[in-house]
Formats: sequence, C-alpha cells, structure tokens
Amino acid sequence: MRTQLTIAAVLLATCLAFAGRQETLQELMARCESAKVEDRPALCVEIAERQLKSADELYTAGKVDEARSALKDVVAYSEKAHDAAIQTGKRVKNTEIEFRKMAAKLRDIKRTVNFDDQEPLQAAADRMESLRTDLLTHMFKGK
Amino acid sequence: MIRFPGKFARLALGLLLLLPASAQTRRDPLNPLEQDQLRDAAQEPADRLKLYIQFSRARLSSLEQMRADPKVTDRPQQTRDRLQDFLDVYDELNDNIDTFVGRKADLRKPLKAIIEADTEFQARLRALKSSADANKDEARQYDFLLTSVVETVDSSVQDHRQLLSEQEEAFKHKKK
Repeated sequence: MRTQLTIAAVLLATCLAFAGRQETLQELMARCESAKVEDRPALCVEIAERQLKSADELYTAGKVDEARSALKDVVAYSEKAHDAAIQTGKRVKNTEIEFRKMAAKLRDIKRTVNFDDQEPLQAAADRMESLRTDLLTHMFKGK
Repeated sequence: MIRFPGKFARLALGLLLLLPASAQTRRDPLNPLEQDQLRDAAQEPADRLKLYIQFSRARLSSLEQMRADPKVTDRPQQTRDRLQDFLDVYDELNDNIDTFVGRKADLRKPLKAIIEADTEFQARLRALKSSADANKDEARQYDFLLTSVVETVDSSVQDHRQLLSEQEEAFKHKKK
C-alpha cells in the first residue's frame, strides 16, 4: 500500500512539474509542425517572439552568428504565422499586432548593435512590416 | 545588360510608386538625436522610459499641430503617417517595459509617469477620434489605424496599472 502511494505521489509530482515548466523551443517547434493549420499562427508567433528575445540576448552577449541564426527563425516563423493566418482567416488581427510589436523590437535592437550588424536587423524589420501590410490588406479585403 | 521595353519599365515604376509606404523600407520613427539620448540612457530604466514618454508626446503634438495648420493639403496621409509614428514609439515604450521587467528593475516611479501619460494620450486620441468621426470621408484613410492606436493605449494602460500594483506588492515584501 505504501509503495503504491509513493508511486502515485511521484507520478503526480512529475505531472505537476511537466505542467508547470515551459516547453522548450524544440518542443514548441515540433508541436507547431504537427499542429492544425488554425492553431499555427499563435504557435509560430510564440516561436518567433522567443527567438527574437534570444537574438536580443545573443547580440548583447556578442554572439553575432548565433543571433543572426535566431533572427532567421524570427522571419521564417513569422512567415509561417502569416501564411496560416491568411489560409484560415483566424487570428489575423492578433498576428498583425504581434508583427507590429516585433518590428518595433527589431528597430530597438538595431540601434544597439554595430553598424555591420544593423543590416540583417533592418531587413528583418522590413520583412515584418511587409507581412503586416499583407495581413492588413487581407483584413480590409474581407470588409 | 538586359533592357526592358519602355512601356514595361514605366508600368513597373508605376506599380512601385503605388506600393504603400509601409510595404517599403520603413524609416526609423526616432531621429538620430533621440536615438543617441536613448543609447545614453540604456542602463537607466527610469530615464529611458521618461524619454519614450517625451517622444510619444512629441509625436501626438506634431500630429495636432499639423491638423491645426490650414495650409496642409494632404491631411489624411499626414495624419496616418504621424499616427503610425506615435504607435511605433509607443510600442517601443511597451517593449522596453517588458525588457526591464525581465531584468527585475524597480519601475514603480516610471510606471506612475507612464500611467499619467497614458491618460493624457487617451484624451488626446479621443479628441482626434471625435474630429475624425465628424469628417468620415477624410478619416477613411486612417480610421483603422486610429482605432488600433486607441485600442493599444487602452489595453496598455490596464497592463501598466496591473504591473504597477504587482511591483508595489513585490517591492513591499523586498523591503522587509
């Protein structure tokens, strides 16, 4: 009886620990790939936001190559979020708002880095604005 | 070198000019002097956030001045551009708040100033909305953006109040 109770307690604790912890980026990416298309905008935006935060931290730490790689994910997952939002018509407005905020963050990071590192950040901000404009056009088309 | 027929080149140029400004490279909403000021205040949350309030306020003042100027001819487009500038700077203000919260900075004092500024911005934006409602033809070009700006400030003021109360609670316990 005592053994059963111990096992139950351990299982419960494990479940609680899993429920409380944040998914890793890889887990989130895997979930995004297998998610239903209508769930993808939110998941892709979350990945893009996490990678943007990472890029910011990596630039601050002077790890420019890794920062650029994270930046590529920001753009790639924003494009996926854009495509899924357009395809389903779901979360278009929310996605547009998140893109606007990420573009603002990219401009802010750009001002803190060396001149040579500014170009990819500007390119990413421009791509965000372009995706955003596209979502706005889509929203207006529906009206 | 590949040469395009004149008609094609003119068509391409026309299409390029038709692209909305926002789809092309968007200029930085902050001028170089403002960028320098922010850089100098990078490690000082209170100073940096105060600068963002100042820059946001300046964008709204510039918008109001433009709209009060009878000589302005492209009022709807200029209203749109200046509203977008305000929103870009305000988004950066919020982004900086998030960054400083992540660093566990004490934002109680700057947040009080931000909430005051939010209330001021809400009033000024509502005045603009009333004026836009009175001129629907003109407002068509910026109405969606204006609604977004009003919604952003409205939801942000709630977030700022919530954050202030969380910080007051957290720092009260820290003192003990």
